[in-house]
Amino acid sequence: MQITSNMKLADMININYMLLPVISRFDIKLGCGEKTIREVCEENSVNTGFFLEILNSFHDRNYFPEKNLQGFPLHLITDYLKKSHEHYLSAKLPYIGQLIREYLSQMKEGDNKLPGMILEFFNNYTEEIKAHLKREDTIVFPYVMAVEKVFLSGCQPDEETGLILGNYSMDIFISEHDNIEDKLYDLKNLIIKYIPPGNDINLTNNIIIELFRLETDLNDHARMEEKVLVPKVRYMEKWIQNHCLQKPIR
Amino acid sequence: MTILIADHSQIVRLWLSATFRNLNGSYTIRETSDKIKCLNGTIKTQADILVTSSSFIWSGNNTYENSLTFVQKFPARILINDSSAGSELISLFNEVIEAGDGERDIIEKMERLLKTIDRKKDKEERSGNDELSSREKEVLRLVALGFTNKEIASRLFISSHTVITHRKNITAKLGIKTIAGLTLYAAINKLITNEDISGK
Repeated sequence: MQITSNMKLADMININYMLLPVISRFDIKLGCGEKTIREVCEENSVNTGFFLEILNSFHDRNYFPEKNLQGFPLHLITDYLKKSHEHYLSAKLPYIGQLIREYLSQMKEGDNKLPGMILEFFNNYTEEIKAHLKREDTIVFPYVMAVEKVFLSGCQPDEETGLILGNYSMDIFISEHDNIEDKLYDLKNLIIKYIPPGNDINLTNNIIIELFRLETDLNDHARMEEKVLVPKVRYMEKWIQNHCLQKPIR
Repeated sequence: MTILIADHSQIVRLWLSATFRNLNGSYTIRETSDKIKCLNGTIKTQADILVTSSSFIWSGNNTYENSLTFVQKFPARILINDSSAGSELISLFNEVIEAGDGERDIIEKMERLLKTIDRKKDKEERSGNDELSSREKEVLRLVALGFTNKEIASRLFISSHTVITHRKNITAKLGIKTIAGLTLYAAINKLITNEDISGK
């Protein structure tokens, strides 16, 4: 079923509580009483149409209106992606790390170095994600905003945008955009199938559930970047290439 | 899949190459005539199927035992019996091409061998609980130790293409994609030892 603006926010949460983290990315807090989604959005200065498209995409993975999403202003997309990054870095990863350290401390060290190896695996992975997200925050997002600025102003790059435009492109982004979900997928399967189980079943289950959730979230995040952000910016890059520059963008 | 033709006679090598090009499917066909360099590893001879002759194996001095060792490194082998090979030698080969065999006979024997290889691969893929075959465990061990596909191919005397196929099957069976993940699996299942781990 589709989520609509006339629905009460509370009802929507009852339909699918997994949407709670998504709502938080728009800085919408609970305690919303009987308010509809439209009312909550207006109160929080959130674009209702964009909010609904994001919620419905998460709610039903087969629903992904690429063209609609590309039609929204770029800053809505990048703000949403940045908020997602914050969520992963300051909430999800530390929480999962905590659960894993707890899980490993209960493991018998034995004569193999397994707990240490698993911790190293997870720590390396955390560093990888941090680097990946940092690159997007510090290079990709400023670049796309600069592209939009030039596009909207009809070929009026100031010095700063000129520098940014010369050094990066969506082609480069796609070529370096690696799958950060792969190691999560591996860790999940290792815990389910191969790592000798600990005594705390609930802890193990919690970790697996959290890994599944994060993996799904990262998949959706990548989908937004590859199917919405990239085509939208590529369109602008091409326009700039044809109308503004003497030489093509790298 | 790669076929290596090892024989002194250029005519034989050329003719066999041409014959094998008529096989259904695409195969890489390589040739060599330098026995010394094959045995001492100067020439890299990675292949899935070895086609060699008894005269090539007998040639040279004091290299019979080494020749047998060389032959056994290949997972599949065809012998061209051009100088009355004894039963010990014949027993090492999957198929034997005799002096009177024509093109059709040779293709038939090669296709029979290829079918056996496919069946063996299928059987491994369908085995019980999707367990890794011993070959796959060998490949996994080397992946976990940090070797590249090329280095693994060289060590196991198979082609890079075969290494990649093994890796795809390993990932499909285990549900583990990354090298770091495979290394953990290898450690858990004692395919690599503590010394290996600390050495990395």
